[in-house]
Amino acid sequence: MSLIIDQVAEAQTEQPDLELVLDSAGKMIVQGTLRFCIEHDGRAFKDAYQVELTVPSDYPDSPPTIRETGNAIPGNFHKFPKTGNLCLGAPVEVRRVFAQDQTLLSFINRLVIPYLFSHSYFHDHGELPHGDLSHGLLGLLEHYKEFFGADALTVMKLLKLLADALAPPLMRCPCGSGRTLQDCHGPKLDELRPHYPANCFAAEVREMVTTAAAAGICLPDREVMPKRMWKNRQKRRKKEGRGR
Amino acid sequence: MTEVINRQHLSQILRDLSDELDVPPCKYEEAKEHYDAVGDWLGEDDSELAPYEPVISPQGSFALGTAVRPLGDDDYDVDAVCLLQLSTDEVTQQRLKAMVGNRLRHPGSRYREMLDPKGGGRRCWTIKYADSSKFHLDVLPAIPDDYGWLVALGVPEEQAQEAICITDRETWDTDIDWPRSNPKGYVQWFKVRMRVRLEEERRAMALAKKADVQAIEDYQVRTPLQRVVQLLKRHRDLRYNGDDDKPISIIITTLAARAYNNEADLLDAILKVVPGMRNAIEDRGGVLWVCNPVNPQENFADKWADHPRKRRLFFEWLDAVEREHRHLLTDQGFEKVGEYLAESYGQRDAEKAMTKYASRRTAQGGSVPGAPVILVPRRSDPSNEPSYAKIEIAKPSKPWKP
Repeated sequence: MSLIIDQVAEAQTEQPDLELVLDSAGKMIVQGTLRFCIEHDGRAFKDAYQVELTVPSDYPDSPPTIRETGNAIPGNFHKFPKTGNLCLGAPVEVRRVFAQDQTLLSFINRLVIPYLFSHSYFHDHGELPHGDLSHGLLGLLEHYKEFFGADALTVMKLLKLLADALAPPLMRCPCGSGRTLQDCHGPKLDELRPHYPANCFAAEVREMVTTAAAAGICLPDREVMPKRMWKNRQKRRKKEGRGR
Repeated sequence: MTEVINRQHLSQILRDLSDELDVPPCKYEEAKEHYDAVGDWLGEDDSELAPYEPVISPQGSFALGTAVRPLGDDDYDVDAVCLLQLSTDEVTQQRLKAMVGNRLRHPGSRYREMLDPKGGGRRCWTIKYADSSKFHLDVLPAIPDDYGWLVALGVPEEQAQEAICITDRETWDTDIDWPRSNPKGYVQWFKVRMRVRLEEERRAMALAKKADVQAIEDYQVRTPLQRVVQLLKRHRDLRYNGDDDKPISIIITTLAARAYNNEADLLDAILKVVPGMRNAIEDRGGVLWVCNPVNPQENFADKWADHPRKRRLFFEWLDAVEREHRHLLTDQGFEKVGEYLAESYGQRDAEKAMTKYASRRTAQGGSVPGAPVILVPRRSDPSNEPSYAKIEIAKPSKPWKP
């Protein structure tokens, strides 16, 4: 509790127009105006946004969520459709970046302001300054491809390792480099592992696999399906086999 | 409707705040060790005072349970009476003061170098403890008073019999009469004023600690009256820091205790006690009286007649306290409760109280309605140009949409 109070005070050194409020439902809200000035391509972008950050009960294990309250950002920009929260990046990425510092100020400077700046830039130029991710699953895949520096299939194989919480350092890296995991993509896996529970990774891979299958893409199931998914399918096949 | 809810919250916040203002129990124990040690030294067998059976007992805010943690670097100021079994026929004021002083300044005394000032104060000897403990102990030399006259004035015998005669360096050469006082009787009277709640709080604590009620000392619990007095004293300290004409503690304590009707709720108590304090001041033929409950002839406000500023500040302050607490009950007022408390009761303690309040609110998980509360106010100054934070973006995450 006093952590967030101290962190708001720290954030106020750069963003004095923020306040910490305990709302009527007992939730901690940081609200106010964020102002920033960013040099990009030799031009200074100066802008201000009204925001409302909700501090989760397990803060700082989880990062805050954020909404824009001045109606400057339309719903078709990058927002979660149900809550209207700003989608600052792929969920695991937001958690990974936040976990590096776990302060409100760094959340604002490293995640929120780059996002707000993208919107300001988009507003003027019709495109995003640093690019964006496709919607939905495809965007998630793009993010992981970039993060791992690998193709889509490898990404799914690597995510399966996270989903199964089983990544022996001496196994052959699934990317096909011929090296062991510890000398190849292992460290990247280690970077992600603490920020997401295994079942969240599992949910992501499951969806990728089903979507691919529905699109008629043939995958090496054994290597990409999380263990439980694979087992369930084996069981189902057996049953179906008996049925015939 | 919201006022009812704000009331509950405000009461809890003020309770937390008064917990913060309170002197920690360890300081009470430390104070007791200090004055017991002084008592032992004064009463040792080889002491000149031994035949007169010196007894040291606390008086003032430490005895009343209304002491407030000092602001800033100030010391804890503990008052104690040193009572010798002598009568006014056997000793003079000068002699009594010197007897106690000599024992404290005895070559074998650990207090020899701790007296400040060396020659003693107007009525007492002040022992200053090491800087780290932030304590000074005022030892007031006294002898029992012949209390019949107090009983005649209508003071209950139980309280009257605690009356004492004390010394006063400024009048002892000119006035043959000894100055009178009755700190112990005053404490008894104060406790009677809050007896219902005192017993209740002790029972509650005994239950919580699974202990016997008898094992709970009075100083371990706080009644709403004690909390009100603590809040008022701190409020006064912040408003009139260092002003010699500020409202004095004995007037605040006496009037608050008179106005208190064993309200169980702290906010309720404040809202009723503060206006009641005004009514508890008597007008005796144009002279305002704050009567000493254990000596009807003593007017605690005797200085008001000659120092009108003292009187003015007192009433101004009372009005301010009442106005501020009433305003806090409105939604606009309650929204800024943290800010207000910091201003009136001190940043550190207000912040701690608000933090406790906020943790409790979040722990209750949103089931509690009520106005939102600002925990950390904005720092921007609307009259200034807003500043735009210069940010450099390195490796930004790309926005995504589910």
